[in-house]
Amino acid sequence: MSLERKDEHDHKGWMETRDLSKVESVYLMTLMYLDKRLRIVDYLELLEDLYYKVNMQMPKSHTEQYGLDNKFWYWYPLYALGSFSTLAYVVAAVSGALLGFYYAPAATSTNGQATIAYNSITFIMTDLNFGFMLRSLHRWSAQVMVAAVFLHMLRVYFTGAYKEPRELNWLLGIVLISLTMVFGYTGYLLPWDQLAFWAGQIGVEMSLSIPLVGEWVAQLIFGGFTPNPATLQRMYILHVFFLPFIVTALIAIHIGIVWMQGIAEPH
Amino acid sequence: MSDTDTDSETETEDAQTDGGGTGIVPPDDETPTWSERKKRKQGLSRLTYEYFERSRREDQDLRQESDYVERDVLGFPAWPHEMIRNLALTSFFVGMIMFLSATMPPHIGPPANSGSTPAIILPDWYLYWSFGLLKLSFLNPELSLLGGQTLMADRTYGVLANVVIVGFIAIVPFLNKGAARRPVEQPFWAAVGVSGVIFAFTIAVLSVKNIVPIGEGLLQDLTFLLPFVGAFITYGILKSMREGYMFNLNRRYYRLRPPK
Amino acid sequence: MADEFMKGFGILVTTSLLWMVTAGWYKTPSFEGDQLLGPAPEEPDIYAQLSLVIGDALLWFGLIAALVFWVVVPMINEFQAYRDERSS
Ligand code: HEM
Repeated sequence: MSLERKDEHDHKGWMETRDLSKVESVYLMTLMYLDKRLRIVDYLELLEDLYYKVNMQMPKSHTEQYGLDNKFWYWYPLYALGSFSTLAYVVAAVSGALLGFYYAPAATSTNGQATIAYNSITFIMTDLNFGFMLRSLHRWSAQVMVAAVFLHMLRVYFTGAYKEPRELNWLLGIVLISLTMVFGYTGYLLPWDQLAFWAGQIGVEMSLSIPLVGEWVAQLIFGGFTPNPATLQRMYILHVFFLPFIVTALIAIHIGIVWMQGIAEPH
Repeated sequence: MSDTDTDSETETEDAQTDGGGTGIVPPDDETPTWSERKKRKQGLSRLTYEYFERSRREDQDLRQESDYVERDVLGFPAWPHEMIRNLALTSFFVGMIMFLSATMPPHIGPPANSGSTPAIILPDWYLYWSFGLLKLSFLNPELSLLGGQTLMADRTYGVLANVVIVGFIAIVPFLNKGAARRPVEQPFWAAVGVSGVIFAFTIAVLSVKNIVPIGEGLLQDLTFLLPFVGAFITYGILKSMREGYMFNLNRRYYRLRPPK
Repeated sequence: MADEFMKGFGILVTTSLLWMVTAGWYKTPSFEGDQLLGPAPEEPDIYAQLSLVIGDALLWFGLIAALVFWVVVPMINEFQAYRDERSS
C-alpha cells in the first residue's frame, strides 16, 4: 500500500478542481501550511465557539431592542470615550516608542546647566525632522487621554453603569485612572527642565509626608530626598518599562470584562 | 464524522504500526455526561462543578421564562455594535489630536536648577486637584489640648485627603445599589456626582490660587460652597423633571422588560 | 431634545477648538503669564489680524449656537407644545 493517499484528503487536488483567484489560492496554501504544523483550524474553531457562546445570546443592538425611532442615541458620543481613551493610549505608545529613539534619560546635575536629557528634548524639538510633531503628538495624546479617561469615568458614573455586575470594572477603572496620572507625572519629569524639577520636588515632599513609610517611599520612587539625577533615571524606567506593561495589561482586562458583560443599558 | 472515522480505521488497519487507533472516541449515547465524569471529584473542585451545574440550570430557566433572547446580565453587545460606532467617532478625535499637535507644539522651559525657585510651580493640569488638596492646611484641625498644635503635619493631611477622596470614589458601587441608572431615577446620586465634578474643578483652581485674581479667603469659601450649590440645583431640577420623564421612560422601557 | 444638545455641543466644541488655535498663536505671548487670553500683538500683520477676527467670530458663533440649541430652541418647542395642548 502506498503511503500516498488519493482520497478526499488530497487538498492540492481539491484546490485544482476549484477556480481560485491568486489571492484565494495563496491564502489557502498558507492556511494549509500552518494548519499542518500548528493545527490552526482547531484553535479557530475554539475561538468561533467562544464568540457564538458569548454573542449569540445578546443579538440585538439597543436601537433594535427598544425600537428607538431616533437613531441618535446609537451615536451618542459619550459611550465612545472608553474606546477613545484606548486609542489615545495607542497613539501615545507609538509616538513614545519613536521618541525613545532620540531621548536619553541622563542628567548629571541640577544646577541650571543643560543636561543630556534636556539637550535631547531640544534636539528633538529643533533639529530632528518632524521631531516637534512627534513630541507634540505624544504630549497632546497624553493630555487628551487623561481628559478622555476622566470624562469616561463621569459617563460611567452618570449612567449608573458601575452597578452590579460591573463593580469590579469600576474598581479596575480607579486603578487605571490613577496609573494614567502617574504615567503623565513620570513623563512630565523627563525633559528635566525647571517645571519638571519642581514638580519632582512636590512629588518628593508628598511621599515624604506619608506617615510611617514616607522616607522609604521617597527613596524607592525618587531615589533620594530631593530630585536628583537618580530621580530622572527612575522616572524613565517607570515611564517606559513598568507602566506600559501594567497599564496595557489592565486595559486589556478592563475591555475584556466589558466584552463579556456587554455595555450597560439603558442608553 | 464518527461514521467515516470508524470506516477508515478498519480500512487502514494494516498501516497502523502502534497497534491502535487514535484513542479519540466521538461522543455518543454511551459517553458519560459531564456530571458523571466529575462524580469522583472531591472537595473544592467538586463544589466548583456543583455550582457550575446550578448556574447553568439557572441560565437555562431564565432563558426559557423570558420571551426574548437575553443573558441574565443586562448589556448590549460590545462587539460589533458598540465598537463600530466607537471606531467611527474615535478616528475623528484622533484626527483632532493630530491637528492639535501640528498647530500647538509643547513648551520647554529652562533647564532644571535647584538653586532658583520659579514663581510658578505646577504639575500638569490633571494633577491640580491633588495639588489643591495639599493646600487645605486651613482645614487642618487644631487641637487645643496640644496647645494649638495641629494633629498632623499639613502635608500629611493633604496626602490623607487624596486617599479619602479616591477611596470614596472607589466604594460608590457598594454604597449605591439597585436598578436605577439614569440621573432622573436617582437625583441624590446625580447631585453627589455633580458636586464631585464641581469640587474637582474648584479645588484645582484653589491649587493655583497665587495666579487667580480672587481673594484667598473668598476662594477657599467658594471651593467648598460651589459644590453644594451645584448639588442642590441638580437635585431640585432632577426631582422636578422626574415624574414626566419617568413616565416616558417606563412606557418605552417596561413595555420590553416588564418589572418582575 | 438630545439632538439639539448634540448640535449645540458639536458646534461649540469645533469652534472653541479653532478659537484655541488662534488664541494660542496670537494671544499667548509666553508660557508664563496669561495664556490664550493674553494681549494681542502690538502691530499685527495681515495674518494676525485675520486670525484674531476669525478667532473672535468663531468664539461668539459657538457660544451663541450653544445658547440657541440648548436654551432657545427647546423653549420654543415647549412653548409650541403648550400652545397645541391648549388649542386642542
Ligand atoms: C485607561 C483608562 C480606561 C480605558 C482605556 C477604558 C476603556 C473602556 C472601554 C473601551 C469601555 C467600553 C465602554 C465605553 O467605551 O464606554 C469601558 C467601560 C467601562 N469602564 Fe473604562 N476605561 C478606562 C478607565 C475607566 C475608569 C477610570 C473607570 C471608572 C472609575 C472605568 C469604568 C468602566 C466601567 C464600569 C465600564 C463598563 C461600562 C458599561 O458597561 O457601560 N473605566 N472602559
